[in-house]
Amino acid sequence: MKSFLLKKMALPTIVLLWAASYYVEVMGYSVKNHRMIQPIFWVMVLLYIVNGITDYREWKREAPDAPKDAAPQEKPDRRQALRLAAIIGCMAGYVAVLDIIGFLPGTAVFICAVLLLMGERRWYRLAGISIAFSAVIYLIFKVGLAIPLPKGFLPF
Amino acid sequence: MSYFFAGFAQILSDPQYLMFMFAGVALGMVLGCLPGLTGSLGIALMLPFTYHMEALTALVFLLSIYTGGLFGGAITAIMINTPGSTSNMVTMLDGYPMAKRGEGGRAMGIGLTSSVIGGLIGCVFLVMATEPLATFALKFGPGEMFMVVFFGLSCIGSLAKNPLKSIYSGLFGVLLGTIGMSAVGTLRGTYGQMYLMDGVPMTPALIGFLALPEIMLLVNQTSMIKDLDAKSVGPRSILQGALEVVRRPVQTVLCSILGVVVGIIPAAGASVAGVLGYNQSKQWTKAGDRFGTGVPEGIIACETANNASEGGALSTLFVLGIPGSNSTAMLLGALVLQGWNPGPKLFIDNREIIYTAFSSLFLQQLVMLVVGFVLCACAVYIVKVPTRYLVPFILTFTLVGAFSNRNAVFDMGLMVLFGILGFLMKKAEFPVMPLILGLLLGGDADSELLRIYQSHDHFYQIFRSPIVLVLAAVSVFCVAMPLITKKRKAGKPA
Repeated sequence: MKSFLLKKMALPTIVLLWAASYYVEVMGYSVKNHRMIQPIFWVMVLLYIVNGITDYREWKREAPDAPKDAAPQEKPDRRQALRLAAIIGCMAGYVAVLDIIGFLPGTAVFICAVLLLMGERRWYRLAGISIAFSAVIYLIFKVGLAIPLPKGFLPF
Repeated sequence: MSYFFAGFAQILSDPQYLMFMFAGVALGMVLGCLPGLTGSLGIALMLPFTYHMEALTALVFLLSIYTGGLFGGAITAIMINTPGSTSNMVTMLDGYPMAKRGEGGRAMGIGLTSSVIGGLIGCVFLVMATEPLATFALKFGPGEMFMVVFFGLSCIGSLAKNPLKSIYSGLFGVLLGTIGMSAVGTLRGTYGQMYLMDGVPMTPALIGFLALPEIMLLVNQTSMIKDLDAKSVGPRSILQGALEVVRRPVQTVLCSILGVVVGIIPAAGASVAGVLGYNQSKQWTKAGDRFGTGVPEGIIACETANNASEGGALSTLFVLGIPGSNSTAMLLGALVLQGWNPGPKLFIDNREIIYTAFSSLFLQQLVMLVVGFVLCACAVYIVKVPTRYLVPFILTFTLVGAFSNRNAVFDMGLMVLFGILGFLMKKAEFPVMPLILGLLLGGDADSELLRIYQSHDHFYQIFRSPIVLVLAAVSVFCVAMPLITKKRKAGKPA
């Protein structure tokens, strides 16, 4: 039951909760602002119930056939999940500090961090690829297309 | 028509037009490839340079960028599941599975040839029926526009295996599409964020929901494809793809016609044309059941329709002076820079130059074939790059692409958030494409509904229009068909 709730129902529930908060907000405005949103929300509620019942019935049918040897898979899955979480963390960190430290140093550090997480260990490749990628992207966007990039503490 | 044929002679007699065509198509394709950048950005960047050019040269150059940009996004959509623009988002559904199977070259050959043929058919309609097509566009009032958007949204149910989950996802997208300032000036769902006043930006949403989940899956692989066959990455594979399109003439022509019709409707655009082409092909072709698994018909449907819509959009632009998209708005800006007055008289006063530009459009499709072949032949080698180098490069490109949309770090953060949400949706087997479609059309549906209530006493009065009735009937059919088909298959004995 716990796996069903997590896998099948968690995300639709989060979506419906957000939709409900949005619905409550717009119902406080004039009719013109929620004329379309109101019916859409109630259709979503209906679909949530129908999808929930359908998924529950399907889970009930499949549950007796679930493989009992799932435990040995957990270790490699956990490592992969941690790697993925770390890369997402790097992306969030990159976005947070980009305006402060600037595009070139920020991008070089980000690429280096992701390369490390992807398994690259040779220091010359880490340094070379990070700097080269950052420079190429800088040249394409800033110099080639004249799109301003965050400056940070560097003068360019 | 005499101007049209004389135009060919004029374009071919002066090498500078060919030079600008090659440069424009190449620039448009490269920009179209890069996530977050589009052909319309290329037009905007080159606009100041065209001030010193002659009107015809400027028009030829900018139209070439527009043409190249329509196909460019298909390359990244196929190879790395990252559409360059919304007009190529549906190409990913079958293009990327083909690339994962080692058929990236073939997929790009299909995309390129479909784009060229779709563009040529669009040009034929542009030349033969510009004025009647544009006049037909004038019949579209708020009711008709709302029905067009509703028709586009009705495809939601057929974009994934589970129609009910698709509709749920699509309606979530529609709600997201209403975030921002409403047509009556009320801020909805912005949580005090200034960057959401204009609504949820499409570029971070597109990259976040569609591309990032696939990149996240690549993180735990050593290469994109195991056991890559050498033949599947050579130029020969691209030619094989071209032959696949030639073997499906009926679908190619019908999707192109659909694209032209959608293109003439202001604000419908190449993305709606692509989605409708895909949806209709899924209903009517033999391979309809296998759409989404990597079939040529899926790529042909989107790429022919979105390139053919160019013909329809340009007819509305030149005859009525109504731009239907960012790109055509930029083109109109270029014409104003040349001292032309936008509006219905534009076509009458400058007919000779405009028909000569139409002649150049035909040649631009052939230029796109040549330039596209070279670009595809290079792009197909992406699959050979180990993922440890590919992933950081693609991640950085997508982040910078999201930033360059509005020069806002907020958009990068939004892209990461959507990426996480898209990944969770993928794990929970919730389709993402309907959400994107809902996001694209939600805002338009809301504003057209408001205009209906402003111009009619009751909503039901819009059904007096035959166009609305036809669109409503087709929309109901599009919603009901996937549900009926699913029930029939469930009832059939194994």
